[in-house]
Amino acid sequence: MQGLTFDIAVERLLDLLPLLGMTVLAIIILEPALYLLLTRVFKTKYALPFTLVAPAVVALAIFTVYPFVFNIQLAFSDLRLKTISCYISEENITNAPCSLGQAALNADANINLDEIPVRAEPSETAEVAFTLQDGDEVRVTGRSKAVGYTALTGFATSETGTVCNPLDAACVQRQREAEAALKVQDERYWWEIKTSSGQVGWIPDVTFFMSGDADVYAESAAGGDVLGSVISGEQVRLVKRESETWYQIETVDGIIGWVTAEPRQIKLYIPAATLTVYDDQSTDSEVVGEISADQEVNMLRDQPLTWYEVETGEGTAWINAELRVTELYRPSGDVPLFSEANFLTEQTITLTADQNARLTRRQTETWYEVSDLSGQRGWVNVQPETVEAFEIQEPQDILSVAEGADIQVLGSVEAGELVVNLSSTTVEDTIWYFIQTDQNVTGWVKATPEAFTDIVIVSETTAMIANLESNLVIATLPGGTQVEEFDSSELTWYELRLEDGTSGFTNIKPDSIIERYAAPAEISAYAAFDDTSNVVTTIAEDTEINILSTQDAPWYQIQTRDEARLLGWVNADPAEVRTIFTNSEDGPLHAEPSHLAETLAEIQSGDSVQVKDDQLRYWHQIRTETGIVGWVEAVPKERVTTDREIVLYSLEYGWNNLKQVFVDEDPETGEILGWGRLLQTENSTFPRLMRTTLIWTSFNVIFHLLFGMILALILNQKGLKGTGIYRAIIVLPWAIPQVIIALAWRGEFNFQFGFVNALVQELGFEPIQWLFKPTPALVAVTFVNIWLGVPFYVVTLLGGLQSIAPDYYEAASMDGANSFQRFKNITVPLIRPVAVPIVTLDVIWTFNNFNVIFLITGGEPNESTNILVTALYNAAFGPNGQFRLGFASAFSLVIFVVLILFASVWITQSGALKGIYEK
Amino acid sequence: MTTMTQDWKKRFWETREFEADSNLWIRRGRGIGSIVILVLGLVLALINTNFFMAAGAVWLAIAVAYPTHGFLLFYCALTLYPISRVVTISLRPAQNLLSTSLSVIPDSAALTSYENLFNDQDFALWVWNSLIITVSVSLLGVIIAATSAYAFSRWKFPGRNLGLFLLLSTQMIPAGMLLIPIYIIVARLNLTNSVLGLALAYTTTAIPLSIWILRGYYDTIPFDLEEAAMVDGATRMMAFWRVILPLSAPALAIIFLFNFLSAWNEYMVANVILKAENMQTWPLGLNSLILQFQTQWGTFAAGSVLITIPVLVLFLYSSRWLVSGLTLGSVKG
Repeated sequence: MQGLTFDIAVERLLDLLPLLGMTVLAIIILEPALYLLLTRVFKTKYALPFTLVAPAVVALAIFTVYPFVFNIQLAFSDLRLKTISCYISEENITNAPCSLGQAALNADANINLDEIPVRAEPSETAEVAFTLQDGDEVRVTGRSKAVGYTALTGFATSETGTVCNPLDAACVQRQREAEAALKVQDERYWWEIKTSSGQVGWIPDVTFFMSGDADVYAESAAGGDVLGSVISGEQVRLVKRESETWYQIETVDGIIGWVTAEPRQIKLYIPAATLTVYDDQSTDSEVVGEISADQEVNMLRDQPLTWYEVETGEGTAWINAELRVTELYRPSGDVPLFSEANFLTEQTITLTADQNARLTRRQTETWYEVSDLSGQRGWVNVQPETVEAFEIQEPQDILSVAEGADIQVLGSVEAGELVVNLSSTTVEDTIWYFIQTDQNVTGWVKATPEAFTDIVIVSETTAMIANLESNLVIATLPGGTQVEEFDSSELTWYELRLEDGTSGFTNIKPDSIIERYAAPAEISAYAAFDDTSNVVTTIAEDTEINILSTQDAPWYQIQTRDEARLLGWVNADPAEVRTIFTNSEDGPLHAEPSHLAETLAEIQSGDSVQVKDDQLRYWHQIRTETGIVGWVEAVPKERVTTDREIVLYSLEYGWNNLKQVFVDEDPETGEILGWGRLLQTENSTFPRLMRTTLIWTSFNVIFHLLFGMILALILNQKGLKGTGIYRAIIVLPWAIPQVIIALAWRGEFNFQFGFVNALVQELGFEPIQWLFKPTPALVAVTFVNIWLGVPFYVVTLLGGLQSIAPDYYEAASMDGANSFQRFKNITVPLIRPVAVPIVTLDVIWTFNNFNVIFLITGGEPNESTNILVTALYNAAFGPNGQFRLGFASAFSLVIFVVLILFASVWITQSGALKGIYEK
Repeated sequence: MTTMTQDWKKRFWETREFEADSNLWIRRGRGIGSIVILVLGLVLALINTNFFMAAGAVWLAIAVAYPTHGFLLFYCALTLYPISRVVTISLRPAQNLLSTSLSVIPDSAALTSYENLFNDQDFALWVWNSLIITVSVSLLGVIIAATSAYAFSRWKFPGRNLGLFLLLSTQMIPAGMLLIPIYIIVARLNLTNSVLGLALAYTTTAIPLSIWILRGYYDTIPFDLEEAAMVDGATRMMAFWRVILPLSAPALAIIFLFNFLSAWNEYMVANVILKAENMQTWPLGLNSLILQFQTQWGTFAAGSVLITIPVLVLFLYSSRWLVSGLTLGSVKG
């Protein structure tokens, strides 16, 4: 994701400058020069036309004729670009894995025709774990179906056979057959293979492991039928991912269903030392097995765990339990402890300096500084309330009720006296106030207040203390006392528990707090940072421990790579598999980084090794393919570069290429295995491709003509309403870019979500696997192309029909001809000059149509919808073609000849191009 | 509406003088039948509250009464529905993308897909790449074709017939056939993954047909016009520039459009030459949305709608001339 910025836009435009430069150069200099040359030197009278035609001739020569000739030349070569792209070193060739477009032909690339990379993970982007050499015996130990990959670097491998040199055509062919047996539908597999030396890796495939336990549902929604369940770490094959959370998987038992847990890919790990495998993430759990050093295991997930070096009463030791943190409080002087978190409570004990107490609780309390009416200032811990007061204007009595019988006079107020307003009521337009006086008399007055003021009172009886540092009570304020508020202060209380178990509160901020750790449960303490070491002691629950140092040690959930499916946890650090290196020269492998050390083995230049330690400058610790670990002095390098002249031409190559198009024979015995070997799945594919192409072309052209003619005739009727609208709608598919149409239809043919199947079900039929069954797939692509092609016919034929004079029909009607006779004897002959060239064009276009089939099915399933041109593309650039460009060129020549023959027969028979030379 | 009813009456109830009785009753039967079908179908649809059944009943009634309109309506539905689906999917909110609903306007329509297109994808960059390649290639193609076609139209120079034949033959070369050598040439020029490489590869694709079309058009312009200009003292090229080119402006526009559309919609060559993500043209970009692990139908559909609308407008505006241009060149010779 880069986005379109102004800079990029300008940069792209500047990229095209050479094109502009060339054009300007041609117009200003080359063309006049050519004209002068033709007039002055050759003195031809056709100087001007020759000059005018020259640019087209040059352009076509460079980009049509030369490629055409070059293509013929390539047909006589053995050019193949199989693995170039993965190893290219150029920086500006970027991201996509192993696709042809990344490789420049003469770039400084490594060509490993004789090696097949095997990956640590079944992923194109995974590290190459090791490389298979020509002739290596491998066993396929697992297989799976890939989803969504577009590039192929994997190689055909038979289930029991060998890996071939791709140059050895016979071997490759045998393996194709084996692969064909494994292949299902249109997606390729990754195979888990195991070499004779015990190495395990992946040739393209995708396997996942469950990250958690999950039920397998029949539908991608919880609550449906539960087909089974998978446990964390179980190997599953990912069939499809539907949303962020739903995955369709296939389990080892063959159950296919939906889970919500996330499957993940594996990593390959090699432990550095013998490890005990535990059932759970704890050394207390059951021991399920043991893996030896250098045995490869699948790493499923990792979980860091902290080791603590602790000090106990019996010395230091390592523990790996989660510790509980506690805080110790050590006062610098004597601290009085109250029984509750309040000054006014009993002061029970005194904590002396150098005495430890554990902090068990904190609580915060707010104190307010107030002064009462007598002017005495102090602190209270009850929040003062604000009430409303007003000044009495005229002296009057305070009444018990505002109005009614039994009015009693409770007291009186003077003018200027401040009273607290508690509530008010309105009686006959007079406002009565319920007030409280200083003397705590409450009752009703009707005096109109001039203004209200706020006064502060303490709401309940509380002690007032002199300051927050002492508990000296200077007064007791009854509830309702009017005070003045100055300040408030947050006061924190600490509950402390002494070692003898007594506890109390203090508000003095502790000045020395030490963090201590306590064991949450009974745990073992080891002598070393390793749970295989001696247990020094057992630490009881709640024992306090000092931590001296910490060390993070991850636990790895692993699975051994044999079929036993041993799942368990180990907590040593496995040595991660790194890129395979090859040794650069022959030499001995030493046990120590020294020439004097014991020689373990002789290794040869080009041997694949794994670098384990490259810390020393001259010595490298490596691991050979046979598992020996030792030191070499040579510097290993990443993959050997094989410089090879890529394009070699010979008649023999040409003959072989051409022969391969039609005949598939065993080079050793000369026995003919089948006719044509373009595809991987079958021997006799050329006839099959021809058949598919003919079916495709004829069905398309016939239906195009049929529907085009019917619609054109209908639209040509006199007096039909809405012709313009119909015409505009019918022409739409032609107007929309083919790429969009094809991809949109591909979505609509989706088994679950496409509208085609929704419609089929609406009509009461079973949904059809449109893109994964040979016949429905061919029907689907043909349907789309018919749908796409009709508009062109409608428009052109309608133009032709409209140019036929109506007089003919009138004359025929007079003579009593019925509508079929009119059509046969007038319309057909007169529309012929228009229809025949259109059909000719359509035949060529359909025959060469690449987009529809490639974008909808890509030739799949099992290449059953491949026509000649899509097979050609696949042979050259496609995922299954291995970039055999020489062969593809020969193939394209054959297609060209077929088309020329086809077209010339059609043209001479129909007279389509009559009149080309008439002018 | 009145005309419709009158038409209806005329078609179904009025007796025509020359008509045999049997034909009359067939006609009337169809009229009654269509009404019966309409009523029955609508009642059934109301009972089941099924929109499809209602639409089907209306269509069937029309088809019985007016078979022609019935057929045309059916075909139009077949054409429009898949196209409208693209718009539908582009408007679906993210959580309903994979819905099996057949309705045209999705529930709780949202423009999130369009936002994704610009925020999460390089859509603008794809379109820009396509646009500059396409425009430059089309201009170049028009320049080359315009001059060459003039030579083919006005002179009988040696090799003219052969040249015309060869131009037509290039149409038969399978696209995949030139793909391999062109890819290798572009790779040797170290122009893979660049807009220049693709522009070069596209340059000649539309030239042969353009020359044919233009030559046919020039042939319809009388030579007298140039002659008159030359009598007035203009050179041949000035006559071409001043007289012929302005007269053939419509044809040049068609050529440009033709070049433009063929390069704009091209997928196969671009797929081989451009691999880097930030170099993609829009067909590659949209296709990459589909090929990824999780297909982004919504985003794809949104991109499709945005790409299609201008092309559609351009096309519908010019389709008449495009067709006549095609037939002009390839048919009449």
